[in-house]
Amino acid sequence: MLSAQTRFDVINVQTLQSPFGSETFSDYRDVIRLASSGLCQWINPINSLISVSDAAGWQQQKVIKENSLTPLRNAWRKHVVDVTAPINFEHIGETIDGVYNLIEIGGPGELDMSGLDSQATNGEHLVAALRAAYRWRNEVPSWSEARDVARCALLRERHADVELCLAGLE
Amino acid sequence: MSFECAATAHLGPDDVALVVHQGHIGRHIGFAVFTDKGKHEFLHLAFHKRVTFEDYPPKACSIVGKLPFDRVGLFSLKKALWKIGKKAQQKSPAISIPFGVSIDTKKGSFNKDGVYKTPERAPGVQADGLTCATFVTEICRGVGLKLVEDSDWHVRAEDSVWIDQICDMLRDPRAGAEADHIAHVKASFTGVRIRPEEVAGAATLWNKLPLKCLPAEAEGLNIIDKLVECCAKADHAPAAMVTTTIEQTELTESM
Repeated sequence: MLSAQTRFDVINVQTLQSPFGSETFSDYRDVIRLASSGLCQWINPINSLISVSDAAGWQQQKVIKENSLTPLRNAWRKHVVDVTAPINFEHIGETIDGVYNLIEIGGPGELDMSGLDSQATNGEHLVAALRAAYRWRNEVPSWSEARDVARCALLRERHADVELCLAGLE
Repeated sequence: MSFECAATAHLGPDDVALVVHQGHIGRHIGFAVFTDKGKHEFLHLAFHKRVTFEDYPPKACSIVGKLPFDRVGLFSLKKALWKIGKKAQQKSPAISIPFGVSIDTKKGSFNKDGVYKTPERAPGVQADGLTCATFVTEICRGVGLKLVEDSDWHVRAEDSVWIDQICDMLRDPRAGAEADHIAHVKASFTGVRIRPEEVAGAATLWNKLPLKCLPAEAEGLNIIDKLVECCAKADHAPAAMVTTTIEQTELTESM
């Protein structure tokens, strides 16, 4: 994030102005941040991004951002929807990083926790995702719904202490 | 959960623990966490804008207690501490947390990168920052694990002495605190203070819900007794009798 900010700082801001005004400018900045985040190695070089200022180019960058978000939207779910996923620091850490990366790039609104099936959900990995997103719980779609799913999944798994696992996630 | 002498306690790689020792003024608290160096380290807010990762056990005679959270809670906390510790090791300005005393649930938080984010205030208004005790409670709160119900804490007369001592320490040039910040610290103190031993006491009694002031305060006294007992056994000077001065040691508070 710091390096992205640094790069943003040295770019001529005028070249980043979108044809749609200041509201979309922040989206444009997101694209710059995404490009410099290192998460999407395939993305266009940053210089080609900032040289585009017409409407078509802006649309193109929105598509790039959307395409790059798709794998991130799925990444945090990898272990959450795997009932056999190991519960250790390495694997739980991957779930946490998945949540953090998606929030970093897309914002908490992109972390859609709706539609999880408690029968096919790994309860502890979902709790890890809920804790990672705890600060943004009011902005994350269906955070509360996912907490209820986690409870059902933990009960299904006959977790030794469901209430302890969910402690504080009110 | 119970506290024991850090010198003899065993911590596993998945344990995250609280460490308490005597500071210049009262007690000091921080985390013991297993890091990517393959050993436990002591992560704490030493004083104004000084978050540090140090060797564990600390040089000062200490007691340690494993946090009673479940494994996912501990992994989540460990991940948060690693992020903050990494920033601290890089000496990133993003982690230079000011010393602040006001008890306010909006006082600040850590984002996912371990960057301290001060609360939104009017332009030019000095951010509050944290004490060593609220550094611990804020990080736990960030993953949904509240140790204390801060709104239940109340004014205690003896803490008016504490704030004067803290401001004296902040005036020490080594603290690097600006005059306006010191003035803000003094002015923002409402008389309500969460003491380090009370955070340790709350962790001791924690059972899925945050602790109120009264039980945490009472257990905090037991924590002090344990520290004194441990350090007496360990052939250290009894913790309560430690008389090190700022001149003799590095400037580390006990907030």
